[in-house]
Amino acid sequence: MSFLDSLLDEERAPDPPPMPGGDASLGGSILAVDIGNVHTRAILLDVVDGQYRFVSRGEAPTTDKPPWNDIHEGVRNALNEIAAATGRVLLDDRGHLISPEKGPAVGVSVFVATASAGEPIKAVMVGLVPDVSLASGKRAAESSYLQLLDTFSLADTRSPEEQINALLRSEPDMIMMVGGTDGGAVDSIRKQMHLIGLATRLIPHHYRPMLLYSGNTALQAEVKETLGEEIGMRVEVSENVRPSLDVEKLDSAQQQLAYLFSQQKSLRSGGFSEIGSWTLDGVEPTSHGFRKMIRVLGALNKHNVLGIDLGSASTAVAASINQELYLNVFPNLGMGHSAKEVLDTVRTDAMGRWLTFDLQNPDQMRNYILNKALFPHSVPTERQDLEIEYAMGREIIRRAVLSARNTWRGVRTRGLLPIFGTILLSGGLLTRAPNDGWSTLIALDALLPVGITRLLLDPYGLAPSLGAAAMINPTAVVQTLDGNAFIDLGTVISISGRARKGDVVLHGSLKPEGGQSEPFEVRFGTITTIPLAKGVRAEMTLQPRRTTINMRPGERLGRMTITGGELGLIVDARGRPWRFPRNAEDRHQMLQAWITSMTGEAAPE
Amino acid sequence: MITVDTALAFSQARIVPVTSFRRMEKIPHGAAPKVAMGQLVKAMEILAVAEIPRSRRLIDVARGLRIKPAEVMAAILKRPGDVITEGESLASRSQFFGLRKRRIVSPFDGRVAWIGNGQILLEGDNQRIEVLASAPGRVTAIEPGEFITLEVHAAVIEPAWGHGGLAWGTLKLMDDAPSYSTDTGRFTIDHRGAIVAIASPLTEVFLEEAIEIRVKGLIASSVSASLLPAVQKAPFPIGLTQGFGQVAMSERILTILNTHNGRELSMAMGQPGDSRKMRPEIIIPIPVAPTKQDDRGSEHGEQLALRPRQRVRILQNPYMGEIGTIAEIAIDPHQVSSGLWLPGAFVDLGTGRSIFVPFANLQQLG
Repeated sequence: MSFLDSLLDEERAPDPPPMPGGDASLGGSILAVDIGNVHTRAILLDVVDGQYRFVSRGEAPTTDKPPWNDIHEGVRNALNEIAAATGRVLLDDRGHLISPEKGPAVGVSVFVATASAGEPIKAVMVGLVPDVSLASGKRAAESSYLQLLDTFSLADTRSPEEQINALLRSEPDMIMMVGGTDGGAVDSIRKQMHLIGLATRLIPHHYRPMLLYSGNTALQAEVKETLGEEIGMRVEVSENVRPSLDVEKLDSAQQQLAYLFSQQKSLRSGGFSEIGSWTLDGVEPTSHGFRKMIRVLGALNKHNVLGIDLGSASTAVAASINQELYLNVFPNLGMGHSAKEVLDTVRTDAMGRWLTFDLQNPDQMRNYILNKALFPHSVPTERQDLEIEYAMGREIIRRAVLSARNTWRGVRTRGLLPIFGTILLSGGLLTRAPNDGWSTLIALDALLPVGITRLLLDPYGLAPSLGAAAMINPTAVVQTLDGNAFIDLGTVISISGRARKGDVVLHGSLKPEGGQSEPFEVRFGTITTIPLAKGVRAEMTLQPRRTTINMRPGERLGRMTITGGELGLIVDARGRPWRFPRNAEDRHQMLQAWITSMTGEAAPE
Repeated sequence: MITVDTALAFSQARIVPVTSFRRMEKIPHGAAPKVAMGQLVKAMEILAVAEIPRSRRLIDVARGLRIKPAEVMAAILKRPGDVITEGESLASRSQFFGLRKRRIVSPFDGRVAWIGNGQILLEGDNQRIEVLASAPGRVTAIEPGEFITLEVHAAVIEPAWGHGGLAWGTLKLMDDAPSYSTDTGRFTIDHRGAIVAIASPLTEVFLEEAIEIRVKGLIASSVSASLLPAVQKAPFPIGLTQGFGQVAMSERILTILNTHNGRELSMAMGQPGDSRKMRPEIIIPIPVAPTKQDDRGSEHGEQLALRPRQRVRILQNPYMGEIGTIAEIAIDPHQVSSGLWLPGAFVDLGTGRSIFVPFANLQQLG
């Protein structure tokens, strides 16, 4: 068993039986589908010359909303693209997936599906103490596409009637119940259970919400009996999210939330049930697949990894920090479906500071964003609109990471980011920019990473699917990552500290394998790329002046080996942190200089 | 390379002068249908009625009667499910050898939802919710607690945005040409109770005038974001055919409205939070079923490949909201002004010149 196998063993489904077609010892072909709010993407992995490779992909508009209201249509269209490109027959005459494989070009061995499409699950949380069990419950809930409508605690000042009315008005799809330490008192939990029971009795049986109990384990059976058997709620239990005051355990609750997401979608959303029936474990949230991918990257690289999936309806931040995994989903921070909500939470002047032009009128940005919310799949065709989207994207990422940091253990909630060795960028805004320079610039502006970071781009939206597939066949995913799954934008050197604009703050040299050493110097206030051909290894030396390059504990700046990415080597010498000039013209010039440096695009006329 | 079949529409909308379509009217849980299958209904006729409790009250009987918990069940006069009226006794106990009675009375009309643990849970203060037919039609499906479907013959316009629920009234179109500026001071008493349409952006003054004259509904081409809070507070439905900003109405939509000026129409704009479930529709009923040749909305609902000669609406600047016809599917991606390379189609806006529009910015019109 490889280190990756053992790493993933706890989350992995049972190995599928060997299938005809492909290399049986490796497990045969894998078809993975991700159903987003705008796009439905499908990928096919198969064994080529004894190694798993990313063979083909398909993409089609998602069809979960009117007038279709059924995701199946979009999935079928995406699979048709793969079928057309590869000649492989994937669906039978009735439109059902052919699995297991029936020959080298008929069907697939394994199918996995992830989804973020549709409205988030409406939930309320019932617990005891706001800062303890409810806080842990909320952190667990942030892993899924869940809209928390209300919370009920012992500190609630509302009368029981008001709480019952509030719970019923919320019309939740799910109630998450937390509270109590294992072995602790149970009376308060019973009181909250009574409240839930009273309220849900008043809901017609067919519409009663599901319940996830993640509190004191001593009461699991009682909750099942009282709320499940007596009231008729569907009750699932997980381990206590707060087994003791100083211990938080979110994994089990997060797994159950993923399961309930799949169940809820199957019940209420057209086509989910059928697509789920093609899988081993149902349709899992895209965010969970994304987190698994971050876990794989963390394990392979043995350093901290950050992943940003900037979607139309939500943004997911996944991180592997000191081998601990974190996942935060922000259902109100998205580039399309949630664009209107972004206007409610992000100030327009915060977005406006990223523009290289003066707005024609104060409403220009808001009008654009409101129209984007009406037609989330639309793309900017004018330069000013592109800049508005990128400004919005930067602020969404900034805000999402700031919020996610509150859950990262041992990391300051403000100030510089911890050092991430790899950052993975996913989502249409980042991956479908006019060029890689734009993608890099948006990410660096929004995240302000420190130290030395490798930037990866997920151009085909494979990360969630590969993450989900990794739990079934890690070998396939590791071998696919060796191929062409992600784009390596390059290594980023981020300079920390402040200096005078224009001062030389970094001397360095790059010596490509078999080549001459080339010195370079970088001035403060700039962001620049140093040529290094993609995939070429080079020995690098760095000597910062009056500034620093943050290094991981135990590491020192010395000679190091890097590999060239699409942009070669990227040096961000704008300092950490940095401020915008107050004067608009100065700000426009500064932003345009960075854009020109990274993209080669001159200022628009 | 792009083939015809790989160019799929991301969104569809109905902007059709004549069609037959099925409109699903959502009904609340527990609503009782008031119509039968096959029944012909008029616009604004009641389709279903629900009595939704607005309030719940949890009454502690032991505390209220000052008795021991063990004595509670004997004091309670009602059973779960009993209908109760305001002031009716729910529980009582005698004091001073029967000379005085201590009672707990119902605070509202409603029912006893549950009794236990010495408590009575009441629900009541019911709110009557009527689901109205947004257009005249025939009932073709009834799914209790979910929806009632009507088959409707009508001209239909799906505006880009709508707000404020349902209205039925006579269309009074104020403009005969699209415009970027809106004249005010045009309202007369004839506009009271009418659905007023303008082919230009809605302005603050025009909205105030419409509120003052008490129109039943307002159709405009667009509105600026800063006016959105006022628009959302308006006491009538408002529909925007193009979206947000300073955008003139598309000629095609104006033509449909002009054709039916003076006739009754329905604005079914939906409520906040409906946007992902129900789309706003302006429905202008026509008295007879369209012939198959006339009906251009029948393919709506199937995900269709974008093809030459299909009508489309453009969803992004600089042609936001304009309606045209696909002249040709572009073989390769094109670079647009933003710098993005995108697959798309050449669209004829009726000016004799074709413009390149990315597929993502095309809405297929039924």
